[in-house]
Amino acid sequence: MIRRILWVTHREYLAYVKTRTFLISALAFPIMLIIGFSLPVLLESTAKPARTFTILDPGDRYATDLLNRLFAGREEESILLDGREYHYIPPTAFTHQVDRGDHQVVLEQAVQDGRLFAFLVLTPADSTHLCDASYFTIDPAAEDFPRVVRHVLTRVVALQELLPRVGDETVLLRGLDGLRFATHAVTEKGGELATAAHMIRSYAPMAIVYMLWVSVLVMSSHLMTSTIEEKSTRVIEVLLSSVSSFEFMMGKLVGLAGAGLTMLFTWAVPGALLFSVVQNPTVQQVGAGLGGAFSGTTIFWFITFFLLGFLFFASIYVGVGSVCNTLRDAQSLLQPVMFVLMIPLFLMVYVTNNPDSIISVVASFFPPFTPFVIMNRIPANPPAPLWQIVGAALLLLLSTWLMVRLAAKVFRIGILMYGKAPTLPEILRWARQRS
Amino acid sequence: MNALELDHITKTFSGHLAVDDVSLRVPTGVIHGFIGPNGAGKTTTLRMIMDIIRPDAGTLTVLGERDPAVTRARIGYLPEERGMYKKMHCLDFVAYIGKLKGMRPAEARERGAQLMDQFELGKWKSATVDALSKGMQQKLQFVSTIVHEPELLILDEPFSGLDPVNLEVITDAMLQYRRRGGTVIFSTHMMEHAERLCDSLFMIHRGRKVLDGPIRDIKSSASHPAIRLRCFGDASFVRDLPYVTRVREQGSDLEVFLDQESNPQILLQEVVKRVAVMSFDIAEPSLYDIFLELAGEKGRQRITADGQLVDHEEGTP
Repeated sequence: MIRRILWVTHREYLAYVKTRTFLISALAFPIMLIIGFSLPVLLESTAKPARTFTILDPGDRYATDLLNRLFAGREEESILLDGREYHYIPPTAFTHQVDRGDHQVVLEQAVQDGRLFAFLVLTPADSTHLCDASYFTIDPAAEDFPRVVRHVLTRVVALQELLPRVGDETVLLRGLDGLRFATHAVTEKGGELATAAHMIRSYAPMAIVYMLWVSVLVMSSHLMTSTIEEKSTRVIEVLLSSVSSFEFMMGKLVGLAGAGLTMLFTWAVPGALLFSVVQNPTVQQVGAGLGGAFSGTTIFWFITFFLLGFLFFASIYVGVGSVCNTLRDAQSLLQPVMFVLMIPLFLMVYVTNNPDSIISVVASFFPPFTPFVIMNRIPANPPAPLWQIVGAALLLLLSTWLMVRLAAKVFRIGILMYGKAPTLPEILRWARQRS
Repeated sequence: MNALELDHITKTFSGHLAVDDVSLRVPTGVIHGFIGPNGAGKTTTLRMIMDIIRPDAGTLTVLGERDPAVTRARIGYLPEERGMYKKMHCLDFVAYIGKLKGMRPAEARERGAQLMDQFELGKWKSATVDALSKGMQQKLQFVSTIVHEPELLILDEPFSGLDPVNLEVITDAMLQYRRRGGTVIFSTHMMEHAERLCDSLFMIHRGRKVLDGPIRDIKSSASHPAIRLRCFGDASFVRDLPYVTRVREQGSDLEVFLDQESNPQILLQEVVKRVAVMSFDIAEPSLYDIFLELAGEKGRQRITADGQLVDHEEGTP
């Protein structure tokens, strides 16, 4: 029996691993990774179109001083931020023909027309503020430029308004800079200054869950498609005269579980290679962040939960595949399963931020969620306690065993049925039948 | 020893009785035909023998074993619905089936290659299955059925869709198989094939056994000889004679069946009086005639243009 299962496993494994789809998916992931990280770097280095801005400062109390400091040392009336030029255009270029009261309206119009990227309106001090500045822009999400303007403007205003009272410029500037406030991340190596790598490390569990989810879904869907294909090409009856339907189904499940592990391996190795070879600081930080999440224990649990999760969902998929003759039939039967599969993805952010909350713990013990939620919690902070991991794994193992047996019953009846796909109640009736 | 023993096998599909209390013995070393119209229960019976579906009641003993897992490797099965993995290499497919039947990998490949040569498929060993013509695919399927040298060969409608050349190839292979001591069970709804090939047969109709036994016994015990008549002039009056039960036109000949009590001589005397008789031949009844008589359902079946026996209820226009 074992030998026959292994022969089916062998064929199913090779039939998947030797396909073009597998080659593409194996290559696609590292290629996407490379593109994902190199694209921003590439874009950074390409020229970006210049932007224009102006300042409306009736009486020119601060504007000239501000511009001088912004242009510091440059010959042109522009500043360079992040590879992009911001050109100053005097407001008169827009406002020379209108009344003073309508200046702001004209400039707003210019922003809307795209002739101007942003403009700054400075109004004199009131009782609470030294200066009231309003920044108008077409793109409020571009924060770099207003941040720089604000920083420089603060100094200009402070020097003009406060220096006469403070007397000492050094004291004034120290007062403006205020105190240093640094966030430190505590890791095994002791406290270290928080970096992007630490941020990535806190969100790495989501990447892990997503990888698990994609691989479980890809392999289960393939299993279903191949089952439907075996039915429609009628090869199934030839095979069932040589192996029992249980042996055949187990062979397929094990073969594709192996193919799934191979696929994960082909993702992991180039990924790890990429992070260790490429010297780009962004890539290095992402690598350090993800690497921190992938400890040996995490990898062990990842493989365990991939196998259990795959067998759990694959037996549903193979059962559905066995009763359907077309992919369309199968998809409509799978809708409730897909719905259940989506929930752990929706929970991902919540579980990452609240790994020890009651919802996270309960969801870990609901078998269809277990592989995803528990893999979300293992590399999280605080990590899931060992008893919960082992308990959830055992519960999932039990449910997987039940699911495989159930699928075997449905498979045995469904695989030789042609014509209309049965309804869910009919399938459940078969499942309850004693073989 | 019997190659196959069925005892009171019954199978129902959602209320429809597909096989009804069938018992049967097939001795070793014969070619045994399963005969009946489409939908009679032939495929269901064969699938139960292969343990692809299980009977609701009754017991099956195949090659002296009750456990299907043990016998599976000793049987070669060609289902009615044939199929192979389209993208698999031909020899790989044959070897795969061999391995599933318990052969060692090298042995399965070697034997598969030998058989492919023998069936003139040698050039296609490393081609994918879908590169083969339909006729070649049928031969390849047959090769994969016998690659593990089974003791019992079960073929479900082996001749359907075969061209005359391949039909001869498969027929030869079946005869050769019997010569080497193997047992062949095959189903067909084409009676002439059964008549030509079988040592013994089993007739099934609407799920019930109608008849089984050696073909010679069946023919000699048949009560109704068929009379083949050729004459000059219009002999259609024969139909109206009181002791004639049925007349079938066979080209320019007439096949006439008389009722139980009547002697063929009465017919001859009557015909000679009216027209000139060219030949008058008392022949063995064909299997088809025997079947019609035993099924007791005259008028319910008809013969299609290609000589197939079709039940009127089974989706015929």
